[in-house]
Amino acid sequence: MKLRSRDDQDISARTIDHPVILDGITRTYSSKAGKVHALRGVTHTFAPSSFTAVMGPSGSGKSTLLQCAAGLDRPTSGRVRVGGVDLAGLSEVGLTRLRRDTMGFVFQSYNLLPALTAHDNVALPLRLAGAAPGRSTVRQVLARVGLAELHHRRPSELSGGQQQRVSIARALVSRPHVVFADEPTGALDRSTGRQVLELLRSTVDTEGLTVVMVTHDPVAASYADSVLFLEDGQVVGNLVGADGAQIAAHMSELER
Amino acid sequence: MMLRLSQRNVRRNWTLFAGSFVALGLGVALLALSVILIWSVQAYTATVDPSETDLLLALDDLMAMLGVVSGFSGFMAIFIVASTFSFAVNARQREIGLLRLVGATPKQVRRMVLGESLVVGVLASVAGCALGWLLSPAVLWGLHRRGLAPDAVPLAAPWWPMVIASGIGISVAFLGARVAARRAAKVAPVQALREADAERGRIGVWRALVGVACLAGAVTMLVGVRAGNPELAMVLALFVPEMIVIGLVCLGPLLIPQLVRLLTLGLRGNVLVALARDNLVAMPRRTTSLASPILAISAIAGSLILSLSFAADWDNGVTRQQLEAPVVVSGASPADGDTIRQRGNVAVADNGLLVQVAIGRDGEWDDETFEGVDPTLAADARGTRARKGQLDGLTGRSMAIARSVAWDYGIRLGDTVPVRFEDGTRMRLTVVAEVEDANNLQATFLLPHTLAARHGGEPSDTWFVVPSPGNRAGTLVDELSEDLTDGVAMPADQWVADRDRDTRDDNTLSLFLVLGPSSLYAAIAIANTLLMGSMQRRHEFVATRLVGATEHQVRRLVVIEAGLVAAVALVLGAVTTVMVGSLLRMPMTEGLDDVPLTIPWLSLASIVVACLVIPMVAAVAPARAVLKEASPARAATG
Ligand SMILES: Nc1ncnc2c1ncn2[C@@H]1O[C@H](COP(=O)(O)OP(=O)(O)OP(=O)(O)O)[C@@H](O)[C@H]1O
Ligand SMILES: [Mg+2]
Repeated sequence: MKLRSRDDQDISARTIDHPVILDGITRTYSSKAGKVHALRGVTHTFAPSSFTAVMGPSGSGKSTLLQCAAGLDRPTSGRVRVGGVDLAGLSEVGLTRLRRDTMGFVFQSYNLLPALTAHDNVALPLRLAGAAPGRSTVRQVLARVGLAELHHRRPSELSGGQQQRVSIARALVSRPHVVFADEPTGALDRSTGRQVLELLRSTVDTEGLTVVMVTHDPVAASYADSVLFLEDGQVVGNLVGADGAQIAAHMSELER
Repeated sequence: MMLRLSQRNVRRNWTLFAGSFVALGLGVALLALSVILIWSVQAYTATVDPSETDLLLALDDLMAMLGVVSGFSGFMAIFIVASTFSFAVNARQREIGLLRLVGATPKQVRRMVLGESLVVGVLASVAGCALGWLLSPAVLWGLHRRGLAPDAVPLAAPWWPMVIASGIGISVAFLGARVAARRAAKVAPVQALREADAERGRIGVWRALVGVACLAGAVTMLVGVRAGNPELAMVLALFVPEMIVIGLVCLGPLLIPQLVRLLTLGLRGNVLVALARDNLVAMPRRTTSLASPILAISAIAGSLILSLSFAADWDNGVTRQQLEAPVVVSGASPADGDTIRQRGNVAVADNGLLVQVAIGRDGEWDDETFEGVDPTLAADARGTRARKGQLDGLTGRSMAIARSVAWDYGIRLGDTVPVRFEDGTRMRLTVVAEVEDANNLQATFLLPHTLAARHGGEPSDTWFVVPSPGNRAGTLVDELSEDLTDGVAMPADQWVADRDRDTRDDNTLSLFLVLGPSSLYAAIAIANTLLMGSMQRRHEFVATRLVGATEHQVRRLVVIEAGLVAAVALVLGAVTTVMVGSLLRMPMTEGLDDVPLTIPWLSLASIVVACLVIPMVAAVAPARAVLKEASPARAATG
């Protein structure tokens, strides 16, 4: 593992206090058909070491919210602060550095590089950051997601659930403070999905990670500490410590 | 780190890079071959006795030709590497976005793509050098058989040529990949999250500027340079189309979608055509990458073929316009000359004396063939006349030059030119006249007949004969045919037609040499990009099957798309060809009343057919396999 510089330690310290703060963000897409207001003023703080699910009807702006929070997309107005750093002030390279040092990503489609083995896919973020990760570091992370044996396989030789677990291992390997997940269980069957969710849950509990996860599934959302509801680009509710049935009830109310 | 990733990318996605590899490998092979030959010829030239001027001239020509062939192939190689690399980047947008997402900086992505080009460049250089080296003895032998190279040229050691060729090969790969690498660095991390690839038809300011500059430059060169001679026309025909192609490819993402719309204007009722059109219009850059090798080869080959044919037309027009003598004898021996001169029914018998003369310029001596003529006879028989100055003055120590030479050498009327004859005599000749070019009728340098006779001039084997008044040309031909021992007498028309055929045969040979290798690359590159294009779109094909298209329909869709891409490229290629051809023809035909218009339909049509068939076959071949392997049933289960 590479040695963290002073700067990074500062960011880490602050990230632990206030991982991700959204301050009145809006995001407007302009396309030929006219303007689309994907987000209309969202203010929210994702508490440190918390697991938050984001729910809402299709097109309500969940993915946009996630992308703005992670600095993958720039909001039209409003501010995003990650670990006390205002993302608007960062260059493309600065954003990249911040992302690779403090964030991990998991998406519905597994997004592994087809040319690399599972081991090399997991090692990639560290290599890109200029570190030469030891085999054991990578093996440990792969073991955590239960794939120690399959490290030499390429993505095309793994099942969907296994690929998803490799991408979680990749998200965790650089010891990020926040993991953003967009429908990570969307393409998985029930039991594989549960494994993935339990994995995310345990990282929050044992390592103090912050997880923000977009999902459509009330059962998946029930693994989270709190559920943020979005509708039409605005926050319309926040349930804390609810079970699957309560979340489902809330959702069907929204969708009515 | 990035280099290792590059290596793996190339290994895994080797099909994406196969086109670059083959084009570059062949380019390096050709280059290594040319350099080895040039090296050998040069070493050999140094050992040749300076008095063997014919041999030295032939060696010079050989080196010049090798130079043109390798320069030309170099351009095609850069072009193809650039277009296949930009295709390879475009096809991997999601993958590159993903790299960015997991922490690669734009610079690292750029280095990765450049690294890929390095890997391909090194591999291709090694393979190409080996190939070029292995081929060199065979090619030398072939050139010798064709009469283009002397017998005894020994092959030089290949090491330096190989170093040079691989150095150039690797730089070409680097240069070609630069644009693609810059574009790759601009791919945003969110690209990884987009299921649907999306592109905008916008192009950067620089790209637009380069495009416009290339097109404007090309037109200025064509219009501005009043190319009154076929040699300059040939040079322009070699280089201007390349500028136009670069310009069109730069502006392609703006231009090509519009053309696709235009071509499918009345055909939108057909659902497959409409779908093909939408697919192409939605991905302007991808479509441009697919179209560009087709555009390049059709524009370049078409322009060259048409311009050379027009240059031959011009030669033919000039010859017919100037030639006054109704009878021409070719292949005449000196004895035949006497026979012709002594006939009673001949009014004018005009024959030039050919003599090798070295012209002194800036301390160097250039060997040229001069023709000693009698200006009065030449005017009566061959219509030789001065454009500037007076031909009557061609007596004593004087000379006349053709217009193209005046332009080329910068020799002007009234200049005194130092010359050296083969017998060693040196003197200065005053330029008394500038004459119109007429390559078939006279040499480009003329001097007085008596002067040529005094310094070892040999009679040319062609006699231009005018019968005395009252005698018919046909009768004279018949009578001469009986009397001549070696020479063949024929009516002027037939002689002109023979010269025309000779010119066109020569042209065919040079076209074959210049275009052969480039066409081969282009064909490989076209096949490669379209093949890749189809393989890449596996998911899309399956999705199209899922919404109810039959396998047959998907294949038809692929063929229609490839055909449309080829058609658009060919339209642009045809516009280039017509523009270059006609702009070069205009100044050449000026002042001539009767220039034939020969369009080599057969050659042009074969380009069109090849440019349509190769992409369609290449696109549909993998589609068949992909569709078999990925049935909708399988796609539905994931
Ligand atoms: N690139 C884009 N250009 C234009 N409009 C966009 C773009 N991306 C998203 N949108 C629009 O923004 C709105 C929010 O999109 P977003 O992807 O955030 O929805 P979502 O809540 O994630 O939906 P889903 O649950 O279906 O994934 C939608 O109306 C969508 O059409
Ligand atoms: Mg979404």
